[in-house]
Amino acid sequence: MFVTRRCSSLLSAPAANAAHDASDAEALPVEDDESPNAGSFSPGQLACDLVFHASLPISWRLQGARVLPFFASQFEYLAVGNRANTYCYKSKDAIFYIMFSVPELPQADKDDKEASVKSAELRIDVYGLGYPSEEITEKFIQGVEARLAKQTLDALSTQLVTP
Amino acid sequence: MLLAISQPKETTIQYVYEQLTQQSGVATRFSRPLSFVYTKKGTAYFLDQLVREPVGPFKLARSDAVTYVVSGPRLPSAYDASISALSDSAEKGFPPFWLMLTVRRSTLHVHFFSSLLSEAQQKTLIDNLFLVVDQLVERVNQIILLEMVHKILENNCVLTKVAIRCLSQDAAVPS
Repeated sequence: MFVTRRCSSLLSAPAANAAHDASDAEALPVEDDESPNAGSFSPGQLACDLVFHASLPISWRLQGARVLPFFASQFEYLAVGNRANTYCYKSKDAIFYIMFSVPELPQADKDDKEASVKSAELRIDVYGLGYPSEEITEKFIQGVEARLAKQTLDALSTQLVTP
Repeated sequence: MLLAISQPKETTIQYVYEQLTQQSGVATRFSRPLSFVYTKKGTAYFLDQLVREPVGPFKLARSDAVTYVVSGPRLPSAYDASISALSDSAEKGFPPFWLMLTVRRSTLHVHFFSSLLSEAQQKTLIDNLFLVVDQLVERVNQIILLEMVHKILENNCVLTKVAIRCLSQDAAVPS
């Protein structure tokens, strides 16, 4: 069984609209018989800088809303339990947290059905204390890209066999 | 300049530290509260990070009881009367001051002495030091929080490594 990772609200403030995120697990645990001084800090005060980001186009054959749950199941072993679509990755002794999102499209694009399917994208934001290695900027991103392509093919296959 | 020796002995450091802390009127003392998410762990990481690599313009070393500066920033010397003395000491590779640090009860204590630096230069130096200390404290807290997010059982580590290898193989397959 996986031991779920928990992220402190000092490192990443919970999303205002995500009720399930604001749980009692925000409290820091006692470590080595020492209680935390979390009260000295405000939520998000110790957030890391955005050190890398990538945007991958989402095919119009793949519904944008299904992409994030798909990666949540694919990367369960990296998932941060109390932050939706957030993953933790250790690379060369440096730890990063990675947030996946599908940015909302502007209203004008939403009205134009063709434009909305074309411009949907998966955004990957990497936060940490230094620039990540190739393991993240290339291998990880290529892995995500390959899975996105496979998911698109699966969606296409389903559409072809379903009358 | 007793600290100019490349690897000063513990007794030398101790002697300088005693001079700075016990002789009244010798050194200027400053203190800075340190705020860590976990005090014990934060203090240990902080002391470790101080000497691991240069902290801003400062390079520090540690003896058993005290951390001391072995090189500092280049200071503006236009308004200083002892330019030549400053340049001499800088060329010889040691700073024209003594600066020793200790951490007690979540507070950084700084003991400072220089007969060569002007008051303005001393202020610049200490302001500079506190700036990099604050940055380092923030970094230490971030490291602790990142480690907590990543903290998992050994089994998970093995599974993660396997999964990452699979991920790389996926990427190698042409789509």
